[in-house]
Amino acid sequence: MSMLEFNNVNIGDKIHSTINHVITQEMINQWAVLANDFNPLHIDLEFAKHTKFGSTVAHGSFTVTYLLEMMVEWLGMQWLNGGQLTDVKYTAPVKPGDKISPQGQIVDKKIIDGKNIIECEVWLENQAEEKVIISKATAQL
Amino acid sequence: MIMDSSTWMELKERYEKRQTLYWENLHVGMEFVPYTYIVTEEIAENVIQVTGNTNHLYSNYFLKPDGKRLCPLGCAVIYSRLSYLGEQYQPPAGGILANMSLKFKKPLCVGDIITSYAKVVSKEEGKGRKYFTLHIHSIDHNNEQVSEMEMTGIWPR
Repeated sequence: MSMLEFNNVNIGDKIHSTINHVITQEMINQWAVLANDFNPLHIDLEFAKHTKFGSTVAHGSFTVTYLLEMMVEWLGMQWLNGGQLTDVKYTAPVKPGDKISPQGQIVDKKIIDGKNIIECEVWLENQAEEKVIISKATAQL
Repeated sequence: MIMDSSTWMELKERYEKRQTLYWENLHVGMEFVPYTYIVTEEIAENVIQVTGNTNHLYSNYFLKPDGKRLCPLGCAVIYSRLSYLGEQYQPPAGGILANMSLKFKKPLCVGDIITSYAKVVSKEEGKGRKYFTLHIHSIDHNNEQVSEMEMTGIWPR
């Protein structure tokens, strides 16, 4: 994987991601095992029906992984060595059947203490182009 | 990751036998018992499979110069969250994650033994809701920091 060069990126550049997935209840159930999180809000249809969401919702720990993986897809080792995903806010639930895709763009680039830093706005959106997670991502190039 | 429904139910029932962590049990400054998480090949494969991750960086064909296989960052989210629950507790049903921050200090690899230290840094009630924030820092078996996480959860009413 080629390294992204600081001089070759500009404020406003979009992050190109090929990631998109339809979230299923089966994926959520399997994540419950991996994360050891069997909160009925995620896996119990009857329980979830009576919550404000009206149905099960995907774990926040699950859906945020798609933002992380967009950054890995884009920056590779540059992200794994020091990337920061901050101010992650869950703005809408992700429900089974939702098609989600991570998006982002560069909002700043600067040199701090000799380090080339880029800052991005990143978000996860659903099939209705509604942002379900918003966050900031910072990396050193 | 293919799991039959009886195994899944067994794991769920085991989880449900855990003690519930109550709001009253949390206080600012509280530190939890350090949580150890071993990043195995199986865990890496399962995270890749469940999330549908196709990044070649995580495949067996791409190894770091030291010969280690990279692991998806989803594992870091998992061990960070588990750090305050350990093998003993479950949060009350219906709570949700409100926000978080994640900082990665070095790549996560198969074979890493991660120890996470969680501490309650805030606990608030307002507008009919209860919030708590944890700070979690995690080190590997070489005593090097691998990640840092802050997460705020909304306690169920």
